Amino acid sequence: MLQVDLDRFAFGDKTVLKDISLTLEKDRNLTIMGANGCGKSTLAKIMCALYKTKKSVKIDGEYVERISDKKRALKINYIPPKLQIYDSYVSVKEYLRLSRIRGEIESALTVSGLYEKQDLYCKDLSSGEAQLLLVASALCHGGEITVFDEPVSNLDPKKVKTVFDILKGDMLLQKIVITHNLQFAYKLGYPIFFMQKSGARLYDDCDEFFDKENLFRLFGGSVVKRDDIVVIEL
Amino acid sequence: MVFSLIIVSTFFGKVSLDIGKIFDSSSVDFHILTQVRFPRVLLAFLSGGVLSLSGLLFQNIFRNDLTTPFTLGISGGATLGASSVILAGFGSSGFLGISYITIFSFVGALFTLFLIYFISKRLGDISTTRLVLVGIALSFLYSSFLLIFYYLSSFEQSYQILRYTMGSLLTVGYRDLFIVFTGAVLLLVVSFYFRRTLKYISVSYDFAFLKGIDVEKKIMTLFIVISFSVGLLVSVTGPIGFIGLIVPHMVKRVLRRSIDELLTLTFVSGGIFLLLCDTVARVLPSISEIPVGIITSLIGGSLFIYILLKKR
Repeated sequence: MLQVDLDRFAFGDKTVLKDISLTLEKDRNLTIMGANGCGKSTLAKIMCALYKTKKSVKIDGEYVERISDKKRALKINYIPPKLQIYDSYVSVKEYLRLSRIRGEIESALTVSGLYEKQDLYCKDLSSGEAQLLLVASALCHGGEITVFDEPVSNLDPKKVKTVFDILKGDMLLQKIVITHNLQFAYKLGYPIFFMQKSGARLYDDCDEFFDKENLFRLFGGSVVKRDDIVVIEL
Repeated sequence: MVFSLIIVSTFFGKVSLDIGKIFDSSSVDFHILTQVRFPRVLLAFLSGGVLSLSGLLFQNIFRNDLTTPFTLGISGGATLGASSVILAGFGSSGFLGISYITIFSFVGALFTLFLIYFISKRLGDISTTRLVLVGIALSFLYSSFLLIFYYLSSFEQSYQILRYTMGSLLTVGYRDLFIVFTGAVLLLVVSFYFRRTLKYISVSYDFAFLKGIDVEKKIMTLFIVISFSVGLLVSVTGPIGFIGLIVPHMVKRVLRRSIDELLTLTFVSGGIFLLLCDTVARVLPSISEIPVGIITSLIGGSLFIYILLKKR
C-alpha cells in the first residue's frame, strides 16, 4: 500500500506541490494526469525517494526514507521519460542485466521487441527503442510498484500498443502511469489522479473522469469523447 | 609486453650502459641501473597508471569528460604547498629523509580534497557540474597565489618553483617509488572493490539509487581514496598534466567497453604512455633532461587532436 501525504514541496522558494494526499491500495493501479509543470514527475520522484522528503510517503506502512536501500528497490521503481546513460558503451543486454532484480531478461527482451537489438549499445537505439528499453528494464527490475513517467510520449502507434499490452498484462504487479495520452489513459482504465494548480483529485472510477461533462469542465471544448474514443478537438 | 618495455626503457638515457657490466655489482653501470634507471622507469609506469585511472574514475563520478583530479584543483593545492616551502627557504631540506616539498605538496593536495569534499556536501549532490566549476575556480585562486609567491621569491626560488610545476620523474633510490606504489595499490584495490557501483553510476546516479545501492557513501569513499593516492603521487612527481584526460578517452574510444572492463587497461595504458614519454624526455638531445610534463602535453595534445579529427 502506498500513502502520500504531502503539505508542500519546493525547490528553493518555488513551491512545486501543495496538499497532495493519495492512498493506493495494494491491488490497484493508477494513472496520473495533469498539465505540463503541475508536478507529476516531481510527485513520482518523491514517491520513490529520489527527491527526499520527511514523513510524507509511506510504503506498506513504512516511511520511504527509512526503508533500507535494498528493500526499497524491491518495493518501488521509477522509469524516467528518457533513457539517459553517461557511459556510451553500455549495451542493451547489459543495461537489462544491471536493471534486473527479480525479473527475467529474456522475456523482457521478447515482449518489448528488442530481442534483435540486444547487442547494440544503448546510445545507438532510436528514441522509440530507447523508451521500449526503459519499459523492458521495468520488467527486469520487477518492483512491487513501478512508476512510469510518460512511457508512450515519443512512440509510434505500434510501439504504443506494445507498451499498452505490457501494462495491461500481468508481468508487473502495481503500476502508476503518468501520461498525457488521453486515449491511452482511457483504455488502461486505471483510477485517475488528476492534478491541477488548484488542487488534485482522485477519480476512483476511470469512467467518471472520462464522463463527457467532466471532460468539458476540465478541458473546455478541447477534449471530446465520441463513442469509445477520446480525442483532442483541433 | 609491459615488462619488456620496462626492461628496454631502462637502457635509454644520458649515460649509456654497458650490458656486460650491469651484473657486476661494483660497477657504476650497475649502480645507475638499480638506483636511478630502474626506480625511475617503475615510477613513470605507476604514475602514468595512477593519473589515468584516477582520471577515468573522476570522469565517471562527476559525469564530465574533462574532469581529472587536476581540473578539480588538487594539483594546484600541491603546487602551492610545495612553493610555500620553497619560499620559506626549506626547499632542499627534509624530515626523516622525505623532503619538505613532498610533505607539503601532499598536505596541499589533501587540503584541497577536503575543501572540495565539504563544498560538495554543501551542494548536496556530487554529480553536479557545479563541483567542477568550483574546482576550476579553486585552480584560478591557487594560480593567483602562486603568482604572488613568484613575485615574492628570489630568482633561484622562482626557478625551483617553476621546475616543480613542470613535473618530474627524477628519482634516486626507492623511497619515492614506495610512496607512489602505496597510492597505486590503494587505488587499484578500491576501484576494483567498487567496480559494481561504478558500473551502476556509469548509467546514472538515479539508476544506481533505484537499484538499491547506497550511492552516496560509496562514492565518497572512492573519492577520498582517489584523492589520497593522487595526493601521494603529486607530492613526489609534481603535476604531470594531460594524462588523466587523454588516456581514459583514448582507451574508451579504442576498446568501446564500459567502465568495469576498463580499469586495468586504463592503468596499464597510462603507465606505458608515461613510460614512453619519459624515455623520450631522457634521450632527446639537450643540456639537461626535458621535464616530462612538457613531453606528455606535446605528444598527448597532438595525438588527442588527431584522434578527434579522425573520428569525424
